[in-house]
Amino acid sequence: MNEIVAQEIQETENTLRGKYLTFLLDEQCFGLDIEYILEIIGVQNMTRVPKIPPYIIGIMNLRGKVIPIIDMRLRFRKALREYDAKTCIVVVEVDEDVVGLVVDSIDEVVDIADDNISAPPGAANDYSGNFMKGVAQDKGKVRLLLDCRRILRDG
Amino acid sequence: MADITINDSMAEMYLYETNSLLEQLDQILLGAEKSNEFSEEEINSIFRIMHTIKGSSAMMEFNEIAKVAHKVEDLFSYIRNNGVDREMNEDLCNLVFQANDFLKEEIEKVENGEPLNSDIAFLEERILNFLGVLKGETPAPPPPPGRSIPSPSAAEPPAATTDDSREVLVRFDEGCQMENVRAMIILNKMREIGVQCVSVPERLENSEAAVQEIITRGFRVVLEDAADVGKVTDLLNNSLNIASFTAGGREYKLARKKEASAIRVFFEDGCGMENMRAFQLLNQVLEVYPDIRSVPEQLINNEEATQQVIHEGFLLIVSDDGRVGDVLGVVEQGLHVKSYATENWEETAADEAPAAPVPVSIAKEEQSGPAAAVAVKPQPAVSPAPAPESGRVVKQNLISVSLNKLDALMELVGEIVITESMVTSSPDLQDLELENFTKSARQLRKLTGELQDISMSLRMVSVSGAFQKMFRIVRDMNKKLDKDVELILVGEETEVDKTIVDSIADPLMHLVRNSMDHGIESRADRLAGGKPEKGKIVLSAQNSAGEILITVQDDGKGLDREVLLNKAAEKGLLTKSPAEYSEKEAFLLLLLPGFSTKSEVTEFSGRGVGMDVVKKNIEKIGGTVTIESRKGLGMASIFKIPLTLAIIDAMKVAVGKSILTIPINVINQTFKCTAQNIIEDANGTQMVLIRNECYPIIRLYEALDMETEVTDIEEGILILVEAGGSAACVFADELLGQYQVVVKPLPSYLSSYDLRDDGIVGCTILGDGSISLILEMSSLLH
Repeated sequence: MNEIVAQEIQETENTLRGKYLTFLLDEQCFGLDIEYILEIIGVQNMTRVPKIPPYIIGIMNLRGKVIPIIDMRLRFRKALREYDAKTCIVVVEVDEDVVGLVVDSIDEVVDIADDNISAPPGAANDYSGNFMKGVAQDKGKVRLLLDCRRILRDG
Repeated sequence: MADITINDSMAEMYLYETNSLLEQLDQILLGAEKSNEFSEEEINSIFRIMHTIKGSSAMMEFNEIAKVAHKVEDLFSYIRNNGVDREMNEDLCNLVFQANDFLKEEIEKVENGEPLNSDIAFLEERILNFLGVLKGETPAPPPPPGRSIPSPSAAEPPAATTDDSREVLVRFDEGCQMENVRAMIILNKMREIGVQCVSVPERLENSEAAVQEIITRGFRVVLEDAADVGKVTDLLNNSLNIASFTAGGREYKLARKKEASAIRVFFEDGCGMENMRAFQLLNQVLEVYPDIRSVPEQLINNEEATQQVIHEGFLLIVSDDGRVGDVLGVVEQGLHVKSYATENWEETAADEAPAAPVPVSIAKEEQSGPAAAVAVKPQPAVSPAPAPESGRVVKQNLISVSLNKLDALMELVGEIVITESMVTSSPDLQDLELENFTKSARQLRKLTGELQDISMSLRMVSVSGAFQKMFRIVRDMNKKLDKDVELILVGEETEVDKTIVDSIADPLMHLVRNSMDHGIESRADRLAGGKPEKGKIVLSAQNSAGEILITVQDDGKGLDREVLLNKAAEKGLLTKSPAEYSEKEAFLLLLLPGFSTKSEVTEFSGRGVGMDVVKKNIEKIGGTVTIESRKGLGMASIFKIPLTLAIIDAMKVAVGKSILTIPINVINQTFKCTAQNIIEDANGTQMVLIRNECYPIIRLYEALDMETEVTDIEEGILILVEAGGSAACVFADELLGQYQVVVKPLPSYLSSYDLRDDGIVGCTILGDGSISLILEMSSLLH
C-alpha cells in the first residue's frame, strides 16, 4: 500500500516537475516552482502584526486558517506600490508553513526544461538576487527563478 | 512477525487497548506494592489484563508479546488458585513490573514500526523460576492467613482420597459431556510424553459405566514412576475441561480452564425483535463455531430474553480462545449489530445457575432453528418489543476517535461559528425589518453555540493520565536511589486539551526525575538538615485566568544561585557579568541547552539535555516555563500553558484601524480619565491615580507600534488590567464591546519572532472575517 502511495506521490511530482508560475514585479518576471503553490487569491483584508519584519505585512484569514502575508516588493527591498485590481496573493506551502506572497500580477504557468536554466549571476545587482536559484532564458524572455524556501526562511 | 500489511485501524485499536491495559497494570501493581498485598480482585485483574493482551497480541501475530503475557497469565492463574505468600509479594511485584516494562517497550516498538525483540527467554525463565519457587516452597495451599481464596475442596467430595504420590485423580468440569473420551485423550497424551500408567476405570471407550464412574468418583490414573508427577501436572494444567486434579498428594483447581471469552453484542437501538436478531446471529455463529453458547440462552418466545439483550447485550461465549476471531468475524457481519466488545467470561456464575447442560439445549434449538425462526417471526412484529428506553443501561458508551477527525471537526465548527455571525450580522441586512429571519438567526446562534461547546469538550481530557504515570517513576527511583519520596497529586482532574496532555508527559517525567535525582537529598542528608526523612514531590494542575498552571514542586535542596552561575560561567553560557544576574535569571540558566548541574551522568538524569528539552516542549504548545526555588527548601518548576483552541470571553478595543482583543478576566475596570488625574514621574512615565494607587499607563499604540489619531488621554479610554502579579492601565481608542472569541494560535511561521514577549499570544477571527490579535497582559506589562 505504501508503495502505491509513494508511487502516486512520485507521479504527481513528475507532472509538476519543470512547471513554474511566473509573476511580475516592476516588469521583471519571476518564477516559482509550482509544487509549492496552493492557490492564487485576490488581495483581502489583512491585519497588521507589530514587531515583525516589515515585509511580513500582516496576517489574513484564508477560509478559517490564519496565514501570514509577505509583500514581495518589500521582500526584495523595492518601493511599495498601491495595490490594484491586478495585485494577487500567491499562497505557497513550504515545510508545512502556509504563507501568502503579494505580487504585482500573475503572468503565466510555463514549462522550463532544466537545460534552459542557468546558474544565477554571482553578483546580483539588486536584493532579489539573494533568493534566486536560476535564470531561465527562452525566446528572449528572461525569467528569474526563485527559491521559495529562501524567501520564507532567510532573514 | 508483524509486517506492514496489518490493518491500520486494527493495529491502532490494539495499541490503544494494550497501552491502556499496561497502564492499568502499573496502577494495580503500585497499589499492591503499597499495601504489600495482592487482593483477590487485583490478582484477577492482572490475570484478565494478561489474558486480553495475550489474546490480542496473538491475533496481531506479535508472538513474543503473547508468550510473555501468557507466562504471566499462567503465573497469576496459579496465584489465583493457591494464593501467594506475603513474603513473596515484593519479588512478585518486581517480576511483574519487569514483564510490564518489557511489554511496554515492545508495544512502543510496534508503534514505531521497529522490529520486535525476539529474545524473551530470560524473562520467561524468570517467570518460570518464580512459579517454581511458588510451587515448590509453598506446600499445598492452606491459603495465606487473613485472606481466603475460595476453597474448592469444600464443595467437592474429598478429593485427596489417597496420599499415594503416584496417584493422579482428575475431575472434569461439570456437564462437560463425554467424560470417558476426555479421559482417554488425557491418557493418550500421557503416554505420548512417555508416562507409564494405568487408569481407573480401565475401560473407557463406549462405556456408560465409565462415564458415571468418572463423574461421581473422578478419573484415576496410577503412575508407574512417581517422578512423572511433574510432567503430568503440566499436562493436566494445559488440558481442557478439567475442573481440578490431585497429583502427588496435592490438589490443583483449574479455574483457568473454566474461563473463556465472551462477546457482548448490542443491537441497534429500537431495531425491534432483539431476541430474534440474537437468535439469527447465534445461528450464523454456529456455522463457524459449533461450541458457541449464549446468554440469554432461551431466545425464542422469551420476552425476558429480549429485554436482557436490549439492556445487557447478547453474550456469545467462546470457550476456545483461538476461535474468538472467527466468531467476531461473523458478529461483525451481523445485521443490525450496533456494537460489540470482547470480555473475559468466568463461568462460575453460569455453573451455579440451575441450567447445567448449556451447550446441549442450544444445539437442540439449532436443529429446529430455521423452522422455529420462521414460525415465530411474525409474532414479535404484532407485539413489538417495547422501546429500549429504560433507566437500567449497563453498557459503557465509550468510543475512541482519531484525533485528526476531531481536529477537522473543530476547525469546521470554528468556521461555522464565524460564518454564522457573518451571515446574521451581514451589512446587507442592516436596517431591514426581518422578523422571521431574526427568529431563525437567534435559533441558529444558539445551536452553533452549543455545537461549539460540545466539540470543544470532546478534546478535553483530564491530566490524571499524565500525572499517574509519575508514580511509577518515583517508585523505581526510590528503589534505585534508596530515597523515600512521596508523590502527591493535586488537581489531577483538571481538564485540558488532549494535545496539552500529550505534550506535558515528557517534560513532567524529566522534572520528576530531576527532582528525584538532584533535588531531593539522600535520607541521611535530609535528616542532617532537619528535614523529615520522607521527601515530597507535588504535582499540581490548575486552571487560572485562561491558562493551565502545571507545577512540579519538591522539598529538596533547592537551587543555589552561586553554583548555577559558576556552572554557567564554566560552560560559557553567561551573557553578562555574574553579579548582574538576579536570582530569577540565574534559575533560568538551567533551561539553557547544554546546562547540567550534576557533573556525573546518572542513569536517570544528568545528561544536560533535560531542562532545555522541557522548555522546548512546553514552548511548542505556546507555554512558558518558570522556576522558583528557595535554597535548602526545594524548587518548583511551573508550566504556564495557554488554552489554545479555547473560547474566551474578551473585550474588543480599537486602536487606530486595528481591533485588539483583551481577555476579560484580566480587566478590572474601564474608565475615561481627565488630564488632572495623570501624574508624571521624573522619567516622563505617565501614571494614573485610582483609589490611592498609582498605575502606570501603557499606550497600546506605542507598545505595539500602531497608528492612531487618538493620543490624547482624555479622548481615549483607560482599561485597568491586572495580570501576572502587576497591574497597569492600558490606553486604547475605544471599547467595542464584549464577545466570546475562539482563540487561534498565530501561524507557526511567525513563531520565530517572540511575539509572546510583546504580549501577542494568538488571534481570533471576527464576524466580518478579519483577524484581531489577542493580547496577553502579563507579558505586555513587563
